[in-house]
Order: sequence, then C-alpha cells, then structure tokens
Amino acid sequence: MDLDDLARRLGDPDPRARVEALRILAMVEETRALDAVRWVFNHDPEAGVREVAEWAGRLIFTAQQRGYTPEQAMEEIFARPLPTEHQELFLESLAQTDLRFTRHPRTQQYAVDQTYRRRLADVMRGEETPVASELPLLPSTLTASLPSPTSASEPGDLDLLDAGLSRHFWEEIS
Amino acid sequence: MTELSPALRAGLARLNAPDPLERLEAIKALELLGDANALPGLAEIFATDPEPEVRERAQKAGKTIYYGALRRRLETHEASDEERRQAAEILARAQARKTQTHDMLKK
Repeated sequence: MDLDDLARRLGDPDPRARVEALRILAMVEETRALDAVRWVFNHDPEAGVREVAEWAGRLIFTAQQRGYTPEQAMEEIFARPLPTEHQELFLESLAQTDLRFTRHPRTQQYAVDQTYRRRLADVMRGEETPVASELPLLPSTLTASLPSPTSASEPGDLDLLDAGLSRHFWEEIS
Repeated sequence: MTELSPALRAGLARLNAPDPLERLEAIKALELLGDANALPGLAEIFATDPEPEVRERAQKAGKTIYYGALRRRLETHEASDEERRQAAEILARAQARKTQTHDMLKK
C-alpha cells in the first residue's frame, strides 16, 4: 500500500474506503498527500468524510510545518535501535541457531558480529570473562569467501548497513 | 482481495481487545510482521483509541510499516535512478548517525 494506492482510495465510491485512506495518510503524516486531502475536504459529497479530511489535513499540515518529509521518516526508522527486549530475543535465537544451516553469508557475519559485541559489552561491564571459543564458528568454506578487513574489495556503506555492521567492525575484529 | 495470513488476522482481531495492554501487544506484533494490510486497522486505532499511549504506538508501527515498504520499493529496480540516489543518501546519513553514536559510546 503506497501513496498511489492511497490516492486512488481517496476517490473510491465507498465512503468508508475514503475515510480509511485519510486515516492512514494522517497516521503516517504523508505530507505529499496534503493537496489531495485538501481537495477531499473541499469536494467530498459526504459530510463525515469531509470531517475526517479536515482532521487529517490538520495533522499533515502540522507535520509539514515542522519540516517532516518521507525522507526524514525513513531516516528515523533506519536510525531507530532495536528495542532491548527484541535484541535479547534476537541474540537468544542466534544462540539456538546452527550457523552451518544459515546459508546467507551476511546473516552469519551479522550473527558473529552481534555475539561479539554482546560478549564485549558483558566483559566491559565486568559480568563475564571473555572466552573466545564461545563465539559461534563459521564453516571454514564460508570464512574463505568473506572479505577480510584489508581486502581490496571492502564492502560499501550500503553493504555494511544491510549487514547491520559499521566500519568499526573491521577494526574491532582485526 | 488479498488473503490475510493467520498471524495478521489474529493481530488485527486483538486490536479490538478491551485491555489496552493487549492492544499494545497486538500493535507490536503487527509492526514486527510488517504487513501493509495492517495499516487500515492501525489507522483506526490511531484515530479512535481512548488511550494516548496506544494511539502513539499505533502511529509508530504504522510509519514503520509504511515507510519500510517505501524503502524496499526504492531498493528494487522499480525505482528510478533519482529515487535510488536519494535512498542511498538517506541510508548513508543514517549510517553516519549510527557511527557517530557508536563513537560517542566508546568515549
């Protein structure tokens, strides 16, 4: 469901569909739809729909006034850290996963990185003595194919971001 | 009409629970599913739920799903070169912010 879908639904013969589209646009503060919402407020035959359009238009206009854009929305989502309880669940699931059966090399790479970071954090808090052998081992055939920190074909920023890593990852493991 | 998954149907049903904590849990589950078919249900909660925290959580989940789908679309061949360039810039800024936070924590 994207902006085009929602714009089409603003012209749906069913007023409930138009109200639904207006609510979604307001919820996600889709500033690109402000003109369309204004048009619905001015022209919709249903009073209830015009009322919802007025409410939605106010919310979207307020977002626009504070400079909110889809680009900003995506930045906020990408930069948002995983909630603590989700991190724990994710790390626990990794401990139960046999990495030999995880085929995607970036997934394995990310799993190793996250386990390493967690162990390092525990050690720095004084909660655990580091034991290198506890790190999940990658299959030897896989490690041969992973890029080394000094390799010429260093992953780009997007590759690292996709793998949940930062450039510091290579410095930390070297 | 799109067939809804059992998990999605269950999550949407729980949005009508009388207990606000259960509604919050349903919202979290729908956010994790990331299915855009949850947007109408979340939008209704955003517009009508009596609890401010529930409304706020629904908005956050709705934005994650909606803009997450936009991001995925930008990453596929459906996007124009300009859109892909914009996506790359956004991702680079987000990565820079992550790196900055990481550096601050190390100090």
